[in-house]
Amino acid sequence: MSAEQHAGAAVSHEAAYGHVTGTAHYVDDLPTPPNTLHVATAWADLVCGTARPDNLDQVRRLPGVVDIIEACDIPGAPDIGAIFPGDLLLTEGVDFHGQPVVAIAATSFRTAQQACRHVSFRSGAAPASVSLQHALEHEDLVLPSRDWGDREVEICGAHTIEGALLIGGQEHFYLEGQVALALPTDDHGVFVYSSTQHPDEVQHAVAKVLGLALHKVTVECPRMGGGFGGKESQAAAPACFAALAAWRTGRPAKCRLPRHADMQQTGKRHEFQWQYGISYDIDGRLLQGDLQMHGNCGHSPDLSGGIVERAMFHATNAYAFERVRLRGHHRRVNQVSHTAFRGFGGPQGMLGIEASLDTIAYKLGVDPVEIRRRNFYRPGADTTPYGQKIDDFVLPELFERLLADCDYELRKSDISAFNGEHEHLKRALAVTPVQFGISFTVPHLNQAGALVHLYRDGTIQVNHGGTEMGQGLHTKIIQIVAAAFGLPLKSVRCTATRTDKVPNASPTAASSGSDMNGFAAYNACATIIERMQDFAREELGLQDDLVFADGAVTSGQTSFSFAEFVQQAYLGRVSLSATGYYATPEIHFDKERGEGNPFYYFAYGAAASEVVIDTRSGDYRFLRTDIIHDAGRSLNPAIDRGQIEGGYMQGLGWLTCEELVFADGRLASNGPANYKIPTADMCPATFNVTLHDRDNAKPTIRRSKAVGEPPLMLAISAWCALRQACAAAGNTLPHLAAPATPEAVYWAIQEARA
Amino acid sequence: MPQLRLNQQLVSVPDNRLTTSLLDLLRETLGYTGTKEGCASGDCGACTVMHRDAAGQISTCNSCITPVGAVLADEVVTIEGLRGSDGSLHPVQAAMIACQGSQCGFCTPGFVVSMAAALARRADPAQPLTRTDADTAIAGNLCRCTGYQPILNALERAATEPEQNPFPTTPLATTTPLATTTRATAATDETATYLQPTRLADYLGCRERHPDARLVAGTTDAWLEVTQGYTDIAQILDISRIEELRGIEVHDDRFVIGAAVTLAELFDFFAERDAYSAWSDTLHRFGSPQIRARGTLGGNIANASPIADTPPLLLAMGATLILQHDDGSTRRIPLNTFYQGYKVTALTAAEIVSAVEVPVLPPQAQLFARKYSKRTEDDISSVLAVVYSRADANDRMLELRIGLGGVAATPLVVDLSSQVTGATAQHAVATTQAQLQTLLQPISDVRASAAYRLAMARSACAEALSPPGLRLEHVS
Repeated sequence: MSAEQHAGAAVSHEAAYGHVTGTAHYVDDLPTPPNTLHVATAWADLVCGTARPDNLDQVRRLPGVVDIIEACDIPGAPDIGAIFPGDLLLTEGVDFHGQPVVAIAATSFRTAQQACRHVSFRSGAAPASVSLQHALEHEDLVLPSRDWGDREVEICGAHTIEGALLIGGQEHFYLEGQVALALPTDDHGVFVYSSTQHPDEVQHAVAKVLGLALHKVTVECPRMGGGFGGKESQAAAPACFAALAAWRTGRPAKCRLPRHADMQQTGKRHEFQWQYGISYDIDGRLLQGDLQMHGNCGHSPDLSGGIVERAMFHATNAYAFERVRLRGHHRRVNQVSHTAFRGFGGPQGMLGIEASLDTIAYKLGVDPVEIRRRNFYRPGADTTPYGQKIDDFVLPELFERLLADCDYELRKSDISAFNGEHEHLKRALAVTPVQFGISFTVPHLNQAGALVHLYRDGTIQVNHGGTEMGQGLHTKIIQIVAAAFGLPLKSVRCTATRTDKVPNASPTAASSGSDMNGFAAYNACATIIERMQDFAREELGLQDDLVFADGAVTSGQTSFSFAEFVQQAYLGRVSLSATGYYATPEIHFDKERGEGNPFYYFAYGAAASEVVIDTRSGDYRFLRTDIIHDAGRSLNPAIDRGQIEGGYMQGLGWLTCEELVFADGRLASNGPANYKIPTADMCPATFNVTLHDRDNAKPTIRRSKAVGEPPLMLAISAWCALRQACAAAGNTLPHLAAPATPEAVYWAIQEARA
Repeated sequence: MPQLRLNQQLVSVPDNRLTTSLLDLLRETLGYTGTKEGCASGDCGACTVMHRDAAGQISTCNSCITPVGAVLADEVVTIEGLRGSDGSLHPVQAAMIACQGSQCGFCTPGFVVSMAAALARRADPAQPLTRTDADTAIAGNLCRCTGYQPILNALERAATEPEQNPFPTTPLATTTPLATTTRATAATDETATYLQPTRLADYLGCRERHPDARLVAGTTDAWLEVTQGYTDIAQILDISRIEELRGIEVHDDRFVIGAAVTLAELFDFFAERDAYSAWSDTLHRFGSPQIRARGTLGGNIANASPIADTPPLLLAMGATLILQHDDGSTRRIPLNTFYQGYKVTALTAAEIVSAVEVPVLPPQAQLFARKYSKRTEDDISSVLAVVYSRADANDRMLELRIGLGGVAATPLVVDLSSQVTGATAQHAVATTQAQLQTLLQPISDVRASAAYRLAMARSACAEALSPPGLRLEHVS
């Protein structure tokens, strides 16, 4: 294989060997000095009110307890909120059940956890906003509402639908829980290993709570055992706890959240209520829409502003309304502050419109696929409600290709025959598209840096601001760098993300990892190559452009091995290290007015999911899923396929078996025994994934497209299929809750039959 | 000092570590960090290790909820022990790389171990692996990244490779025979922390000398007190290896199943008996392979959880428990009088369940079970409904008993035989449904609403007494 092919080749994950042999280190696997402390947190059994520990003197005397930290002990500022304030430890009242009140450092993990259980509290309960419903009734907000689009819409005429869909949240359930290890440095600083998607933010948070300048704090993320958005802002707290303990005691300190604490203390995907009024014509074309997204933000904003915004951006998915008004509300509920989760509000926005199109299709007696086809953006109706013109709209082509590939028409009639023959079992097949905007909607985050070092034996280290959470970012970066220098992949090593190598890095989020860091790494390579060109021309007298291929550097008839050439360049005093930088072009957005070009481009996909339900129980199975997804010119088809399959299954979990249950404000689904993510048997019996392999119209790195988040929303097809199967069991298309647990499906069947 | 046979080496383990989690020993003391902690509750499989018992049976367990002492009689292999002595990858490891089976990689060691164990214990490696076999092999392992397809592909690929058993041909001999520290003489060893008698007589001796030792029979539930509640258990009396409790006797009219028979063994027993598919279907969805390998029938019964899955089956079949008293005597008690309230049973402090007598199904009798849960694999029942029915040659009802889990504070049995004698199936359904509506008062909780639980109990009765049709899991 020529080196050029390394970008775009389906190579395995760079750490796959370490994964399968158990030798890949995660933060909790790193060897720790023998005097390392372990930090745990204690909380009061209270949803809202005040709580003060009243027996800390006693707890302090427990064997193994070394330090107890209260908010008043924080040397810097207690606030670690990513964008909006949010305190590390209780400074005022309790705002959610599980909120840390004190942190205890002890000589072992168990001792710290046990000590926390000894803490008793003097507490007073206050009235709580215990549910989204409560917050809706009381106009309880954490941020002002947004109102975009056409305020004059009127939902009237012969054909209208209106109502509300409650869409559940989701626990990230990364297999590796939140963890950080802090080591005091000898120059009054701190070095923190953190499992985080955003080392820069952890650096800021640690510096802030310790009252240090940023250059005193270094953060490294070796790799994560899954992130999914849950280690963007949420990783700061454990890192700060570890850093505080290290700072105060001068000893290394680790903070690892046990699963139940992780589930209670870290934010989740926002629950939403999607409230709608929609008018349409006799053919099912969307006329006017009045769409409101009510996000359950938890007790504080965290990243909720951007998340509600993204729900609004994607509330019309790929469809043109004549006029539409979009409103977004940030509801305050006394729950943990909800946070980023793959899709960042987009999935919740999209589910509502897809559900609505099915409702319209059933009302008109038109195939749901045809209703979608009729409403896609089209010439003359190709501007989003927020004013971005849709060009390069590959969806109709991709959608038709999927329908043909999955035998849609034939299978529809087979399904209909099956349903006629079986009293208790009903099948359905639904197809839904995804149009997902790529870019951070906060403009300044759309920048990235990279650092490339060439060593004299011809090997390369690359470092960049992105983090590796399993998505294969490091693999893609290695491919990009190897391709730039015409080297085999083994010549390039991607090192752990560190704030002292690439500063001020954005979170690895918004699917932007490879787009931004990939280009930054490429630009670093280009800088070195340019220096090499100059050197070859000026010092070696080689006039032809250098060609880097197959481990060799060639100019005309002259050829060197790469290592030889690097050695020559070194002796010729050429700098063999360079930084690279990238800022996404063309994006701008006015949040107040809801107008602009928030996205550099869109990623597209469509899925056809077939399900079968048992009407006696509401139980179901996933029979077949066909997906065509647009990853542009894929940087690595194997990794992109993994993102698509994995994203689909994660979305499937969100919409089916994963149910967050709060009882009186307390998280009842607080462990894997009662919060169920998908298992292997849920993977559709037939699962066909195809890449819609074509160049991105925008000049992204090697014309690829971002692929992290968009596939999650392909699972909406499975939810729509479940709802359509319920309809097949009765006479109407019923309401179906999200998640569609077997119980929810059962009740939907009863409604369809009523 | 006791020794653990780990990855073909002998590892000395201090006595005070025998009552701590195997996972903590591996990670914290021995530095085997390839085995991960994902949940510390036996639900995610990231900590899966494999073990082989003295009889050569290969199983997996969740090392997070397995005390070290529990596996001293076994050989243990972790992810670190899977590679060949020359460092070559196990076929499952190679296949996982080739099939892109890892993304974040954190769950991967657990999957690799589960898959390698599943392949190593195949009865006939020449038989192709079915999708159900593959699903079952990894049903106790959660992956949040891949969506499982590439892992299933990897398993399929590895299954065609020559078998590679990570255990040595002959087990290593321990220098301090287990018997001296943890088994036969444990009864006389005042310092023993982990007592694992293999004979009933030794067990009785342990009870006499160590009356305060915590009784366990698999620790799949008990150990949550340690890993979730952070309580320490100073001394354990593990009854899961007592030979007298380990057998299944088959008589003409009854099976006598030892309390220490594991759920995996019970599955194997019933899987060979067609009339008992209600058992094998239910056991197939009981926990995960890791849990079934450690959990015992007696533990499931005596733990008295209202959502335990074997009691409804046993209740519907009219099972009788045999209780072993510390004084050596035994008594029999019908299971339907055993459960007296939430986690309250007829067991006295001086008794354990030693066996269960299960009447064989008479001719014309049917046993039907339906498990209702949010997720098919590895989930706790919202409702488990078991219907035992017997009809005469004219399809008129003779007996009808419904065993139920998840609808009351205890496992429950509703015997409607007297109300439905002579009735047609259709009438029996109507009677049953009306009765259940009145009798059952389930609660709403994190798993299901009261209304759904009631509806499912009723639905199961209708389904049980109707002609069988195509089943959901068989639709292709």
